[in-house]
Amino acid sequence: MIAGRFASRYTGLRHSTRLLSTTSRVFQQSPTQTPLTKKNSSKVNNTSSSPYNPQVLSKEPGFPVNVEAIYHEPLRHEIKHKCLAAEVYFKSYGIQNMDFFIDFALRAAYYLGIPISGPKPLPTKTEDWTVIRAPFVKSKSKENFERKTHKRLIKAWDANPEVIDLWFAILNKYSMPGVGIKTNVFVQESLSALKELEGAAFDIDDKSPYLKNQPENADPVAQRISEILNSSEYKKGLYETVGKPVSSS
Amino acid sequence: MGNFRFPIKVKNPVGFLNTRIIRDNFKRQQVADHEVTVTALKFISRNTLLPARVRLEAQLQLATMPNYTREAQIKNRCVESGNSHSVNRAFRLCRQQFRERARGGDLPGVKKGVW
Repeated sequence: MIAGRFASRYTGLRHSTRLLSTTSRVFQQSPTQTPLTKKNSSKVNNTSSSPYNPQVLSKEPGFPVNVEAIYHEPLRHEIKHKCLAAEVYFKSYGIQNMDFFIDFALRAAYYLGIPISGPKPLPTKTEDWTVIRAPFVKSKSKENFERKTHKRLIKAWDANPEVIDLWFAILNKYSMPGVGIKTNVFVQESLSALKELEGAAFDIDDKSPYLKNQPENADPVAQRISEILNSSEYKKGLYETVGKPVSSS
Repeated sequence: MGNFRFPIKVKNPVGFLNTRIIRDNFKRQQVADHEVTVTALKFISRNTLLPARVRLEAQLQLATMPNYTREAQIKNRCVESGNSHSVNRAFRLCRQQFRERARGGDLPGVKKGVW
């Protein structure tokens, strides 16, 4: 469904059900591209200003489309509804592995039909340490060390939570060493869900067995205070001076 | 006569061990165990709404508690050498161990600083 929705954007030539299938592609040059000969086919030609079109082969027939796509920037779907589905934060001490992995994430998102924005570079955190070189005295001679934590942000839009989950599963499976991932997922609920919540709020006192079994005062310190104040030594002091026990709260 | 310094049995940490690390580890666990009681007693002793006798009782009880229940007795120590001076908070290593490891490339992301 998703592939079909976006396919019409790319071609007036032909609709395809799967973007990755090589059978449905048209082996023909787009008008802006120069015709390829065997001589320059080894070189990537995307020098023209028009964006890379996966529906039109720029190489010989039989060259897989996903291999060819690697030579170009990751493709993106258009953000239509501007409804934020997920944020993905990447963190690493070096940018090489992280940027490679982000490239992979963008491609995976494209093939899943998820519109993506980013990666947006976030401020790099630098930690510095200055230590004395010598194990004993000689404190004038020092050495500096530093660690830089790079951060990137990718936003996914207009996608179902199921598709987002699938994307995360792929990211998890092929995760890179030394690249941390943190995700925030946003799910939209219908207005009826709010009504159900309101109904539940009324029933909390009567029905929820979990809440019923909870002690009235769950704070351990407050419990201990009341225990102490109710012990025999403390009770004496409380009754003599005030005449009635003072509540701990 | 019991073991006056370690009256309660606790687990030793994994890794480098020396007397001072074992001592500090014991204190840490005891402080954690007594945290609720100490906080409650401090609340009572500092609460001006309570009668003076009750507050004094709480202060006396706090004062009679063993030293290993006080948070101030805890000191961060190097996990590799047990040194208590110049301990790096991020790696829990003293400056010498930190430098050796950083130069050896054992600490992820740590490089020679140039600025």
